[in-house]
Amino acid sequence: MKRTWLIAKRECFAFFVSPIAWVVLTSWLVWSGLTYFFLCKYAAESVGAPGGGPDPLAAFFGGTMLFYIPLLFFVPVLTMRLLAGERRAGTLEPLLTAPVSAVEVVLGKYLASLVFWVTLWIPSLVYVWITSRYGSVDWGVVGASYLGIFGIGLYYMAIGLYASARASSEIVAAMLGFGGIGLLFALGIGQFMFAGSEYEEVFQYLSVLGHMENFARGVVDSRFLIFDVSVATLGVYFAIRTVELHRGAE
Amino acid sequence: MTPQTSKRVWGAGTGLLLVALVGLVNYLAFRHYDRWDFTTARLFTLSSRTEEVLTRLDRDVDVYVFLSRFDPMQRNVDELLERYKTKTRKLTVRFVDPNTEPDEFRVLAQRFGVLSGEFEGNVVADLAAVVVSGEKRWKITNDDLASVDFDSIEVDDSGASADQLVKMEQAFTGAILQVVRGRPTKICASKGHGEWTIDAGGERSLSTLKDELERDNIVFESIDLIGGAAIPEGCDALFVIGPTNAFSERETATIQAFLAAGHGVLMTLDPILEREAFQPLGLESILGPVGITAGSDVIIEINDTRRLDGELLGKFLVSDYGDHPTTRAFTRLSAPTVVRFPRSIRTTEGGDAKSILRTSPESWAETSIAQLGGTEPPSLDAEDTRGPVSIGAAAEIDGRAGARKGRLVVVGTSQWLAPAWLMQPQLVNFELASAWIGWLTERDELVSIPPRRVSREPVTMTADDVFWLFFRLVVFMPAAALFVGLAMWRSRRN
Repeated sequence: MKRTWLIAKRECFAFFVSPIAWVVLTSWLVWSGLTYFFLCKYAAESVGAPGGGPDPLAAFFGGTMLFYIPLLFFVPVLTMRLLAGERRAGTLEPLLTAPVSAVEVVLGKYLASLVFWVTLWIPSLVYVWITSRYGSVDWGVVGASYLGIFGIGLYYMAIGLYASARASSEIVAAMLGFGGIGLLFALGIGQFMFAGSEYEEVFQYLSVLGHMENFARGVVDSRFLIFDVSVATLGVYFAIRTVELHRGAE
Repeated sequence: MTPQTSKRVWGAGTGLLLVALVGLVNYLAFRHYDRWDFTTARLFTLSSRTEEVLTRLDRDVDVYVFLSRFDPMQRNVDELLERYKTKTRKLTVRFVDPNTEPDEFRVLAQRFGVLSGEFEGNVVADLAAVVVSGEKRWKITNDDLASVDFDSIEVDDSGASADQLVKMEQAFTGAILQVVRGRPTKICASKGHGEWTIDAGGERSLSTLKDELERDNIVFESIDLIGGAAIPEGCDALFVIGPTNAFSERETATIQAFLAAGHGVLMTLDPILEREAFQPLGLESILGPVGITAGSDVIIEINDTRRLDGELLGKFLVSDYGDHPTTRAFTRLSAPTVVRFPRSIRTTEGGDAKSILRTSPESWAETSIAQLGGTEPPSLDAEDTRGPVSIGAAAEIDGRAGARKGRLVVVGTSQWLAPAWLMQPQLVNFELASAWIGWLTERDELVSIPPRRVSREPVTMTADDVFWLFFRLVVFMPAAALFVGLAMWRSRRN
């Protein structure tokens, strides 16, 4: 476990001293800032209308496609260098010959990826604070929303990590990650195509939209938590197997 | 097979096994799940009443929902019924969209008498849902589900009005009660002595209470007890609400016999001041034997945090409910009830009657009519009773041999049943009435707290606020991140 922590710390350090981290973070802040700004603008313009406008915070946390689409791009960028980057730089082989197991390497990288994910979302606390200044905030709902976001991060990052393990370069890793996450996202759209049918619930279960829809309302559903953890487990397991196979081939 | 190949095969097998295991876990999780409501106002938690109704369900209930998938209510009805299904296996829900399943809709429309029409190119049904159990069915209209008070709509995070969520739960739980209970619970409200009427209109009307309780399969009927006329068969409880004229001995005996037969009675006895004296209402002979005394007094509340207007004889809040099965939930919530101009309703020390509503320690029961009608404010004297003063009591009465015990609830004012206060979300006037009726009629699910209304402050920003928001969120924050990144990059280079 100690080695896992060391690897995670090293990965976090390497990430945050690299320019790409700050490019990603800056882009993310611009995007999420713009999203929240437009939602507030719409809410401000809806003052006085019957029922008022939508709560910008509720809309920000999964209420619009502006939440989901960027994740298809940001997640692969965050995870592409985890293993593929090491392979490209030629540092993966020495790492695997060190007295660390593939499990420790992969778990360390995975933990680091979760730190990146959480870091992306920490600035959104400013949006929560702003909303509380101009209206009321249901802190229970906020808590549930962040739990939902963390759950999404668990399996998104695991998919990205696996893609990075499989790929020979970072670009390929990003494309594979985009493909994997995109496939799940596309499957989720089935909840709208099959609305009203017995398959709707199945697609809703697979769907990141169905996932956030509940969490953003303040409803924590055990099905989605189990889905997040189980898909994350699969992603991490296959990443470990891939690294072990790679080590075996050396 | 080489060791490497064997390793690969073993690895592939393990992988497949894990995938199968994950699939199984997800399948089980999909079928057996739980949901936790993190909202502060417990918006998505079923009320304890609904839970009680669902857990006690002993027969199959089918719910057919005819909302189109384009109808914004459909998602919330779906969410609500999902929660219902987690509480009972006896409930089956079927969504039939008239647009996408026209054949099935046609069959069900014929079966349940559902009409349809076109609206903006979509087929819509005239009913939102039908709840069926055996031969009984109950229709739920769109009006039953929608909140009509547009001025008070507050939007929750899902985009549904909080009021709407509450109305939906009331509609569906009420419908289930209607189809599973043998017959409606009947409350007979006495008339002929100046009591409150069950008709609509006027300040002394029980019509709001009547309309709300209809959802719980409770019906009201006016009965005349003049001359000691018998209380009709089929009355599950008797209401004597705010009489202004005294009951005769024969009429009182009728009520006593009703209690002895194991039924329930709710009395609200306002203090009647006439000819400079408190007038008896003739019901004291019922109260005395069970250890309850209706005082010849009026409660004065001087605690400013309890008074709702500036008058000593005006409205004030009560939140001390004693220790009784009907009021424990309110004590736990410290939920307030509004009363006005009550008299004391005390219990005898050592008796079986229990106090269920008490005023604050700063109040007192004023016995002097001269002081009540004087120009100077009343003051606490030796003859008066210092608070907390009991203004409500409940007792069980031994009945005839073989009959269950009768139940009596007495409250020292009728004003708490005023329509304006019954529907206030911050008060529990309606919930209290519902709980007492449940106890009197042995309908336990009514004793739990029914769905509540909640309110939320929407986000309001001026154009100026929005402008500065843009600057802070889209310019300043990203610029700060970029600055930190550049600084780190430069320090690394150096």
